[in-house]
Amino acid sequence: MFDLIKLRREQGRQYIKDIAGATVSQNYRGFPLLDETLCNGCRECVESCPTGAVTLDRLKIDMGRCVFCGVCEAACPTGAIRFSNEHRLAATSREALIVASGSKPTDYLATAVRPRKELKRIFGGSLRIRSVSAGGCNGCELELAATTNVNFDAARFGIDIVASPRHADVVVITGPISANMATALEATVSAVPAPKLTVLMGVCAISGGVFAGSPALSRDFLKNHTVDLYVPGSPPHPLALVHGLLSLLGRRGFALKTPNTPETPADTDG
Amino acid sequence: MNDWLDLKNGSAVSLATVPSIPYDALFDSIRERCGKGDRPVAYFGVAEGEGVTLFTVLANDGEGVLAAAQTELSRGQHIRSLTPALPLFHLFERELFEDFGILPEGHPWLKPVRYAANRFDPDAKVEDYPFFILGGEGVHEVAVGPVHAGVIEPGHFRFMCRGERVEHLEIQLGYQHRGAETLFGTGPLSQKGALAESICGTSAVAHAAAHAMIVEAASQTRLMEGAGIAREVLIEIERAGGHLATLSALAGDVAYLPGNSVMAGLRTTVINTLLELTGSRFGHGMIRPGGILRSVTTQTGKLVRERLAGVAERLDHLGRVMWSSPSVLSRFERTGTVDGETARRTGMVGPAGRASGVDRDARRDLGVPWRTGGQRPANIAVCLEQEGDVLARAMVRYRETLESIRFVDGTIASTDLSSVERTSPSQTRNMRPSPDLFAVGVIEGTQGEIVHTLVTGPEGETRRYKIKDPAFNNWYALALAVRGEAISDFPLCNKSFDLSYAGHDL
Repeated sequence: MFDLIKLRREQGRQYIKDIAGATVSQNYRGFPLLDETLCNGCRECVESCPTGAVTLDRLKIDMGRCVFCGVCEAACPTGAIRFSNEHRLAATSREALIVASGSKPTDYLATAVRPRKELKRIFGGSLRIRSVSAGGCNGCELELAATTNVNFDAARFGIDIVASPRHADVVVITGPISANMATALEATVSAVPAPKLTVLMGVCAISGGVFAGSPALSRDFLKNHTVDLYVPGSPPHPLALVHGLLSLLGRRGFALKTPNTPETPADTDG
Repeated sequence: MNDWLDLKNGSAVSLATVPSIPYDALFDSIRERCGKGDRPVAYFGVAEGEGVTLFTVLANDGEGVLAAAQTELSRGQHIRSLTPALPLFHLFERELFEDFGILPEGHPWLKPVRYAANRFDPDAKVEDYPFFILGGEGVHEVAVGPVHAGVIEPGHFRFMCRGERVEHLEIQLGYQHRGAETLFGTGPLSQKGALAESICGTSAVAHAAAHAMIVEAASQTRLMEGAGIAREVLIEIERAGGHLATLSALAGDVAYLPGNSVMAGLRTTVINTLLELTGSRFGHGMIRPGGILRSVTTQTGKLVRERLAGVAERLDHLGRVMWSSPSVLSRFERTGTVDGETARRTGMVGPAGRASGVDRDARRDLGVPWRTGGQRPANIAVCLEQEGDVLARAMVRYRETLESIRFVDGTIASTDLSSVERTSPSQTRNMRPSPDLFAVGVIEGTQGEIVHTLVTGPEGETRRYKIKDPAFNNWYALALAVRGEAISDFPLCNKSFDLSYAGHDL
């Protein structure tokens, strides 16, 4: 008993207080910073990209296809491609994920997620997630599960993960949607009572990622359903999902917030 | 029969030097060798029209060698099944049947494996899996999945129970099949690092290392000095983070909240050290054929050591409380037992195997090319338990977490990682496998041995890229572990194995 209390004291405070403004390690590969004026047209980035996310006619990176491996950054001899540590990458439209030369993380944050008023009224205080992994490697799944851990603690915003689609408000889809999971995904989503939201978490769900074009996938689901939120990354940071959801709901403090002092779990000791 | 070709781990040989053994002789030779303790690490076909070349790689863990042979078969051919005498082969033979219709006669459990997109029988559908049916008074079935209650990958579990007691569990996989192996064969192999990182999320680093090892061997590229050691550091951090996720969830399954939350927090710190080193919490974008893509500064090395030392200390404090807590021990002890004999007969690997006394660890047994002459690293202890229950599997993971941290700490302290030169994406891109080669690479990942195998064609193109994740070895053991247990203990048993669905389904 006393050992347990001692153990508890040792843990201190580990939750990140300011989720909206939290920044992650400088080394994190997040929002790409592109500078066309530095580009010498050598095509090293295009040749090295595993998913065809980089285009050169105008230097652009499609975050919906980017796996954030950073190989293009390492390949670029002129520094025209760099990755910032901005992890808050969610967007409400697929087009918003295409980053052009000169785009700044602050501008992206200000426009990428369009809050919907009616959602705040319905889900503002309580948003329940049902996860469907449809070919996900377990990377996005682990990061989704991490949103509820002691560091990110999404439950304080009313966001939690539920066991049944019947109890859910939002389906978070991870993975490139394998053909063998197509039926189960459709059935799960149809079991969620309306009104409901659909979120694509991770590059595989958004575009197929490194699996794009595989005959083992069946992505017809996306033809028949509208997507409410895209969260790019491979996998996205847990904070990116939480931030994206809260921004979509229009929660105060979550749109247009600029980064303040660095705060990562390892630095926040009690 | 000694006409197999001996290979070192992480080496490539000309296809012509891999001895061709007719099936009947192969059958006898495998039975003889496996009778003495060898075991299969690869057993797969490469199709050419109607012909199928079967490649077999056996591992002799004691001597640290792999032995390879090839055998000519054809699609739809009937062969004598090895499985009745050697259950080690049961899933390998099922895979061969699913891929090419090669029918192992006498196989006791010839069922679909993963409903691969390019399967031999396209009419076989994932919805029509032929479940075993248990009859009798009071017998009922509980069907779970493919979508599960938690945030985990999909798979279907069919429990055949009498009351609460599980008489038999059948695990149907394949929902996660993404055609990964086929994708390795489209486009330049050296460019598939990111694909390797997406085979199995909890072993992204280890799979990337196995892929890099194959490309380096097949293109006769020398690894950058020190890059191998840097890779080992990353693999061990990944292992520590993975085990902590498993242990945290295990504690959660028995409602032991201190364990659940403390270890989830420790996992965050561990994978954030991976982030400091690689730019990704999962270690993506670091290991590529030729070496490592980013340099490790002395400062980062120091930060990693400090943070991991803190993790080890806190984990030790938790362990002292948790492993003497009756509420934990009463649920973990004697639950989901797999005895050593069963574990060896079914070919278990990794921490789940070691928890049943299977003294097998590729880090020690098979060596790696970057250690001189395939020398075995002496500075990593293999953690063994004998009981084979949930507690044993948890203890192996707990001890391995501390051991991995100790290894990382010692290695960073004694090696100057900042002097390791980075490889460049253009260097990686120019690494082309030689024609008509056979290459094999084994890496001990978080859940056990990862095996990548490559067969190239006359232009150096990929004819087959075969992946074996440790999940392939261990899923069947989970089904055996829950026999006779209460169905309510299934989540606990399942989590203690923590097998990858995607790694199995590919």
